[in-house]
Amino acid sequence: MPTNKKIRVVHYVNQFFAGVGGEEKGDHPLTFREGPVGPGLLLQRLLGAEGEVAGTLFCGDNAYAADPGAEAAALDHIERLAPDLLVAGPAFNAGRYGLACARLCLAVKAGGKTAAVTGMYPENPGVSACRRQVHIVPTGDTAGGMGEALPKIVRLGLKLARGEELGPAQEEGYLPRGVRYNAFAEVPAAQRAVDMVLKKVRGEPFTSEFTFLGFDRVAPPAPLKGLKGKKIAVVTEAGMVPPGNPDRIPGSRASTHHWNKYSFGGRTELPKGSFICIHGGFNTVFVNEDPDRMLALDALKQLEREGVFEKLHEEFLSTCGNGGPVHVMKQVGQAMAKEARAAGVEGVVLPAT
Amino acid sequence: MLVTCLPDVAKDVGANRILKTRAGHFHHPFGDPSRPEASERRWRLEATKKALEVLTEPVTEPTVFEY
Repeated sequence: MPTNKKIRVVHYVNQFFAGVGGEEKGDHPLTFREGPVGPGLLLQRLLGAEGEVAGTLFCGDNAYAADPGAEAAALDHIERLAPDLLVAGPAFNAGRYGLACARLCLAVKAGGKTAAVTGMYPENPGVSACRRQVHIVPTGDTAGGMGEALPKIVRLGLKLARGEELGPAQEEGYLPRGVRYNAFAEVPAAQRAVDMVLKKVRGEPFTSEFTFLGFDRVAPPAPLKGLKGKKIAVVTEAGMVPPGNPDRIPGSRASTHHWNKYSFGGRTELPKGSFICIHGGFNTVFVNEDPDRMLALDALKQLEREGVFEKLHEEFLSTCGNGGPVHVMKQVGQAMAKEARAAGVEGVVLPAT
Repeated sequence: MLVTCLPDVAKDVGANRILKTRAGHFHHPFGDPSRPEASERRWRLEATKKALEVLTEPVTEPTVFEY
């Protein structure tokens, strides 16, 4: 795409930023207006002669979350307007707004015709929903950061729309997506690593070449009020499967479908061979000798008989966590939690290796 | 709640209720093959009881209990 072409932009905001109303208008349906609206006026000013806000889409955050028709309607408008770039938000730390921006950007990018950029506070839940696929400019947590965020969004958005090559996330000013590119370095890795260590021990600033995306912090669920009457389940990431591994769960780097529920088959303990451990990251001899060393069925059945708790769920849920990418394991965990909840399980014991 | 012999990893990834079994092993948190069978079973029963109790503990952040 020639760089002198005027970039055609569609802007997505929520109903609040479009001036339609506050939280009480959260169910406002997806609406289209020609040209810029609300923060789009600043967006247009920043684009100057390089781009044009062809139209604005806005929607209540509840409507976007609850009504699949809202996203479909947004995509229809975008198809019709054929923009080079979608700018969504910025959503700052508004969670549902952030999720709407994330979903629309993902859908538009998946279409393959239009570039997409958004802006959010790094802890907005919309970030984890799309950070690997979508370029997100980090913003402050409130709309007070609009003036600071939009110039960065415009700069990055124009580059994306023109298909220009981007440098590292820190230099371009977007949240790292966990993507690494090959590049030639002047100094070999060993020397760079030693230089980094020396800087670290001297307390001097240094930049790691590997950015770690980090883990979620999940608010702890409330404690069980006693164990009497409770249904307990065993869940594990230790790769415990029936003999022959019927679901072919791999010993490392599982995918999102590599988990299943397996019945204890009415047993009160687990003899050798009742289940096997296919974990590829440790010596499985001891657990294969006695699977209770992982699943503790003998102890749990005894405690169930003694009435310490009401009922052990007859199936355990299992995957293999060895080398599992965090975003994959997160999905496996969510699917397992859904399964356990549907079975009326109130507490889970999760032996992990 | 999560039973493991590597509580630092569990804490890093944000598990909130963690039981470290001291006699257990990375390869088998509910096993201690160094004991005779009957003794290992008794130990596992107590470790499992402790695991269940951890479910009833109020916590506000990743917290390690030990047995």
